[in-house]
Amino acid sequence: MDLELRWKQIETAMTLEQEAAEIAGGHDAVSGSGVAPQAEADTLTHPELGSAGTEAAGRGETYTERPGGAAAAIAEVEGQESQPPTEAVPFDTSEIVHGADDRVQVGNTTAYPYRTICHLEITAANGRTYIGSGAFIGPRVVLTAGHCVYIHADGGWVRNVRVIPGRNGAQKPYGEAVGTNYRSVKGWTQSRNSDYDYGVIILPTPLGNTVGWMGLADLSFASLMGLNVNNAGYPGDKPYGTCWWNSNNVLAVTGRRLYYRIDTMGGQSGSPVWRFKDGNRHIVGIHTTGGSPFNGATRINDDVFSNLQAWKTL
Amino acid sequence: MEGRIVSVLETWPLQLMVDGAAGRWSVALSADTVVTEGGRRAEPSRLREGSRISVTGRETGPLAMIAERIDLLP
Repeated sequence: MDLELRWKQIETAMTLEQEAAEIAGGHDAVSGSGVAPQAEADTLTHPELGSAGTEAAGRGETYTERPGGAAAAIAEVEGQESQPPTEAVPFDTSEIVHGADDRVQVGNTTAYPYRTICHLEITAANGRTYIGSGAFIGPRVVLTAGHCVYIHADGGWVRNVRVIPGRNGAQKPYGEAVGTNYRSVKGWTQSRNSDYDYGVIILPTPLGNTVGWMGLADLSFASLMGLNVNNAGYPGDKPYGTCWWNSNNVLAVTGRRLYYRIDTMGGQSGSPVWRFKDGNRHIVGIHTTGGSPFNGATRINDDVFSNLQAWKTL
Repeated sequence: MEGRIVSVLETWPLQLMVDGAAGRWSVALSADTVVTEGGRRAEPSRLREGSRISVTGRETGPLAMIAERIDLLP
């Protein structure tokens, strides 16, 4: 079956299902104003969801932690982000890029929010290495993909992650920190379910107090569908350690996933997908997959929001 | 192992989730992984959700392997 047709059928089914769910208990929950450090006001609201909340607790969203770690408590005007301070850089077309490659290099990675976005150099348990991306959500906590902290084919929990915020090629304007403490959920670590592909790195030093962090938003289906979102991270097909930005609309939403045609490549796993609205920036998803016709993110839904709220102050 | 790609996880190198006869495999690529399509060398970015593949490599655990070679099947 033609993939486009299959996606349209899935999209229609999801639209009907989600609309029904939203009528029953839709909401928008937002945490943090997403401003520079010290000034962030955590204006968390988390509405009661009744039976939906109970279901969330039973979906395998129990946190899981790297063995030996301390137990954690068990979360622009709307539209396109203005282009980051940058200079236009020519680049080659890639495969998981949709249509023309319109990724733009972030020239000034010390500008907010780009300084909160991190280049990750991951060493797996067996010593193999990967590149990923992440974003600060608290003083010591970097949000990323579950498969950046727990790699099933390479022995599970990674050995360490070197976190370099605001990296720009060889420049590391805020230095770096190495994390060896992580959180994810059993839906990823045990069930290998991509719907639960998210995690955090907990750093020994509060680099987030220097670079700041974006807020988090658990948005309703209605708010997410068609929302213009931004993404920036560290793709491996570009000069090493350079940060690239792109933006597009959310084209499909499920209970746990967002789909869009934002151009991405390997290395961008864990990068934030954020909404820029009324001068505030809130992460709504964690980029994880490349695909055709859509790339995708783990959606910050009620469960994810709750866990991130608990983890971000670790 | 033969199977169908369920997810392409965008670390660099890539990771794949692949549904095979025995269940869902976690497959990790390396910088040296050879990808072929139609008998010719191809870029890892040709690996797409829904693609059928044959993977040769080293098993590293239950339903987990590091790929040395991935052939995209017609």
